Amino acid sequence: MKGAIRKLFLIELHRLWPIAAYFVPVMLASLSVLMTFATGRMQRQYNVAQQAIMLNLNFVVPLASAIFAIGSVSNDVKDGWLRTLLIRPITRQRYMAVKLAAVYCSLVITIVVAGILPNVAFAVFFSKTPVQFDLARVLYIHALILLQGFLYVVILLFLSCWLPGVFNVIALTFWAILASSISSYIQYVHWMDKWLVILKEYLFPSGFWDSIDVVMARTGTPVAELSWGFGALAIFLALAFWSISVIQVDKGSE
Amino acid sequence: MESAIPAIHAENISKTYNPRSKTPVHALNNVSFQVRQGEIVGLIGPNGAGKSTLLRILLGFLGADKGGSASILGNHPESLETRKQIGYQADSQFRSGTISTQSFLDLHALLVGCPRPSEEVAGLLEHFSLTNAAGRKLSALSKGMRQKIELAVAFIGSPKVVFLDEPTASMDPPSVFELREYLTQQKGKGTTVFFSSHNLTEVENVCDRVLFILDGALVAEHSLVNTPQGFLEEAFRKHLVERKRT
Repeated sequence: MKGAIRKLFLIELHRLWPIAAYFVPVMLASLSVLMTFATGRMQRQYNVAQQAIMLNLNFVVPLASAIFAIGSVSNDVKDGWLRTLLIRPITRQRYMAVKLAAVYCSLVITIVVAGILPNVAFAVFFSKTPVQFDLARVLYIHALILLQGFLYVVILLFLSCWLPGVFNVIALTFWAILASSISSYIQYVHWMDKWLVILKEYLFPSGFWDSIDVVMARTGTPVAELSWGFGALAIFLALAFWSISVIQVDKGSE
Repeated sequence: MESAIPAIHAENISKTYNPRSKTPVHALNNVSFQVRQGEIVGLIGPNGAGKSTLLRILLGFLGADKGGSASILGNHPESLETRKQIGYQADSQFRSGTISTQSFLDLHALLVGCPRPSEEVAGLLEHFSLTNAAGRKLSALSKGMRQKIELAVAFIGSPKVVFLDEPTASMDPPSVFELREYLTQQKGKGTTVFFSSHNLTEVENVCDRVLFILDGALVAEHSLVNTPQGFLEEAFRKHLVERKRT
């Protein structure tokens, strides 16, 4: 079965990268270069870690994860791919794991090409101001960025089990707006109510993101933030794997 | 020797689309039948009779209404044990702009656990006259070619039970002859084939038995052993007229 899973992973990866998809990292990398030049030249000191947050967390990760993951399962149902796979002795959970791995690999490739390379290139070749490069911190932050990216992918795959691509985008936008307004309300009005705070954390999980803030502010180890992040990741992973096991493979009509 | 476990067993299968809407569609109504191992059985009915829905429910791709049950070789249709022993050719074909025919078939051969996947795939490509299409993307192929690929996929790994949904719908006559010959070979090997079709001649030529489905209900079944040519058309007309009357 190992050979079959390897082949399936390669095919899933290949399906995520048709010729048109090569445009995605190129476009994101070009925009990253522009952003790096625009902001890097304004700074007195070029902080590689800070720049990575600006590029990857605010820009490359949300966009790339949306491009690769939105509607991926619902499209597989629609075009018959899931049906052609599940006629074989492969569990739905295994299909989901392979899909998750393929989408996440695509995201990591895009992060490297569009988020890390322009940042490093600017720091090494073009920065006229001193470069602050603390390798341990840069790696730490990138690890957290990768975790946040993984969380995005898992959430999007969960949504894509239930909603077609375009509704995926609408749901995500609506969810983000709702979450930020409710979060602000809870944070300022009901911050003493622990259940509402827990709800806020799961409404739109930002544990890994908050961890980065703590690391950047050098205010200690972000234990609580990481716990929230991993907690949310576990919940959404469970939801994604549960969803794939209950959805209908064929919507069918005659 | 014939096994006591039926290849396909369906009992009281009903399916209603949009059950909570004002206009629910009753696609299937208490369908029950059995297919013995080694039989080739045809499912005949007009468009919208419920043929594809029945096949999808039998394979576990579509949920039926509560109360019915289906099994393949005595197991649940979605169990891994069942999946190791079945093949399926869908009526709507998968087409991808990125996957080649060879890759698609290789994947299926690996998933089904063929001991020698390359040989298996090469044999099927040759048998279905698809050798020239091996390196081409699925999306670049004609509808008829893709249908043959789906057929090749259905027979990968020598499955015990094969489900075919309108297998000859887009095929040219030579391919239909090839398929007929292939099905006869498979029958000799003891493979059970259950297929839906509009093509009465095709069903008459290869099937041992036929089931008639009209408006979601199984209205009759006939053995096709030693029946005269044209029997099926006559029987089909008769059932259509009876159905209209009732």
